[in-house]
Amino acid sequence: MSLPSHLQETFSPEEVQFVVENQKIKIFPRITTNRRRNGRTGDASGDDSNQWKMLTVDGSVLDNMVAMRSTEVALWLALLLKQQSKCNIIIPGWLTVKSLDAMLQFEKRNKDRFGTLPWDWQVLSEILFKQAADDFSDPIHELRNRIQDLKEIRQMKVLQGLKFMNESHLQLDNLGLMEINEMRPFIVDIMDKLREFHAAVNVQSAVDDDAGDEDMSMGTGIYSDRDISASSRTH
Amino acid sequence: MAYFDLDDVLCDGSEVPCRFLHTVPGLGFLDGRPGGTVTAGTTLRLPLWLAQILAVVVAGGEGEEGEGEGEEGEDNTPFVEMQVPGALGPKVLAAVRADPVALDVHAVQPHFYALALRWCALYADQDLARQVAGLLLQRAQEINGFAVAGGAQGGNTDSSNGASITASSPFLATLDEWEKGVYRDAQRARRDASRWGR
Amino acid sequence: MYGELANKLVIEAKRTEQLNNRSNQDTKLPVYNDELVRNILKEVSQLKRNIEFFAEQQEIAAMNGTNTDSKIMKCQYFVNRLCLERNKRCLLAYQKLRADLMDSISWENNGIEMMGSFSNEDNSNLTHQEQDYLKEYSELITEMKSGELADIDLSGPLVPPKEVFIDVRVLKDAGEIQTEYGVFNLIKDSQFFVRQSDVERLIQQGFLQKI
Repeated sequence: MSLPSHLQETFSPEEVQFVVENQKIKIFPRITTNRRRNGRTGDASGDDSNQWKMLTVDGSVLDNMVAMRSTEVALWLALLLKQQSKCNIIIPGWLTVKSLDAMLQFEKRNKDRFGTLPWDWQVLSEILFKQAADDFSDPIHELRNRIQDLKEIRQMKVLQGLKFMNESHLQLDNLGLMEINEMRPFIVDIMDKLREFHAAVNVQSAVDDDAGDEDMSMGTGIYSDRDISASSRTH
Repeated sequence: MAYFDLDDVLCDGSEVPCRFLHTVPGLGFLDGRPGGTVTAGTTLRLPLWLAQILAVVVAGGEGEEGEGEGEEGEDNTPFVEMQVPGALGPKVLAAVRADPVALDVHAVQPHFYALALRWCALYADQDLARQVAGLLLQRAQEINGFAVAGGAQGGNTDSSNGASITASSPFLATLDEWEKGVYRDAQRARRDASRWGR
Repeated sequence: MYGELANKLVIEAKRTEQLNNRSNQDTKLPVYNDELVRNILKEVSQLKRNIEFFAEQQEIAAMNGTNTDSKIMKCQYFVNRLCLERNKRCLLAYQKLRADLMDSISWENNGIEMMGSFSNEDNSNLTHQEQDYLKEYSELITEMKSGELADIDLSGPLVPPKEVFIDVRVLKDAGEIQTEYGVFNLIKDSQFFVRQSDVERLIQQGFLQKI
């Protein structure tokens, strides 16, 4: 009603990004913060401590920041600090040419499985490319190409897997939130209708039939376990 | 099966051939002859909302549910007997087997899946359910393919790209009402995703 | 055949639904099809009379104990009854769609604030009852927003903010606004660095522009 129907079906990419921005990431602060309450800052940047007051976080993480000592903060905060040149973001280990090449190899070798990328790989890489480009040691365009290749090869596997959809389950191991999010409306619609047909003719024998259905999902790119049909309806 | 759902209301209006098992005066209006009598054995096309009740209500019984509570052991036949509608008939099913993607489902019946679902539920028709589910799944791949392509293409333009794609692809014109909704949902999500990356 | 008019009404509703699905624009309602609705209601009264007649006949037959007749009459009764129920469902589905669309209109226009700007041309498509409905639904939204949920901007933007603070340019003089961080005097063409949540509403209303 107040929420447009397309936002009831799945998250918008912006919403996914918002969720991802709440994840912790490691940074090297370039500044040292002190609680003002604890007395005067020994630091020369007295102006900075005024600015910190503007941030509405509960305090502890920010107050503990020491220049060049790595610490973990929420991504949104890291980006804010980065914008003001107050930190460097430590690029996660998987986001290097070497690791991505290894991942691509894995994706090519395993036709029916997805490599273990973090659930926010697509969003995180996109954000960091855009907003923390100078923190990478590898050239961005090479990383970008590999991310794009990964996206495409995984997408192909997803399409293969969709041929084996059924009314009861779908396994989405190692797929990222963005990957799931963009196909959720489609999968939910189809699985829901398959379930309706299944239920229409299996009123009494629903239990017996479950055993027979298992084979449908095996050996496919997407398989079993989480009932996305149920979870996405209620999100 | 929502009471207010327009597609469901329309599906309920699809016609099914029905053979009358009793002679009933005064129902001629069903046949375009107001005041006339419908004699036993006559076959008329009745809307589903009428047919599906008349086919289960037992003429002699008291209850509305079929299953013979024929009082005083009398007549247990319902008022009418439904026959398989053309949309679910052997000709269509042969076409389904031959090439699911080539079938113009919308031309066969704009609410094809909804009607098939009703039929499956009424007659516990396992065979039909399996065939239609197979059709659905195969066409779904095709629909998704168009949604992915349309989504990527629609990344630049703002709206109405859905319409232009429909015009350019004969397949999308063959979608039944439910399939159209699937396409719309899928395409929208793909478009939003491809827009985000820019 | 009974029910045909009602079918026409539902097809019309379906078309309305499709048009609103297709466009990204504001929700639109076509003219209320008063004539068709009235004709369907006429059919309904006719069916009601038929049903009463058959019910009566059935009672009489029951007293006389003639079974075959009662069976036939039951069929006639059922058919008329089902036609009536069908008409009722179609009418309600038509009205439900319109009610849903009116709800959307209310939300799009932020509750009661729209009523003033709502010109006569726009709501001439609505019946009197529908206008009342729209007004009262809008009032409900306003009431809810100013009641216990006052802290949440229910009709605010649905895109999550990317930054806490943003630069804004003033498009129209808007006087002074008070925020946690002091008072801003919004004079045309001036720029401010402000907390996004403080000025969300002013952006929506076109006083400020995000830069």
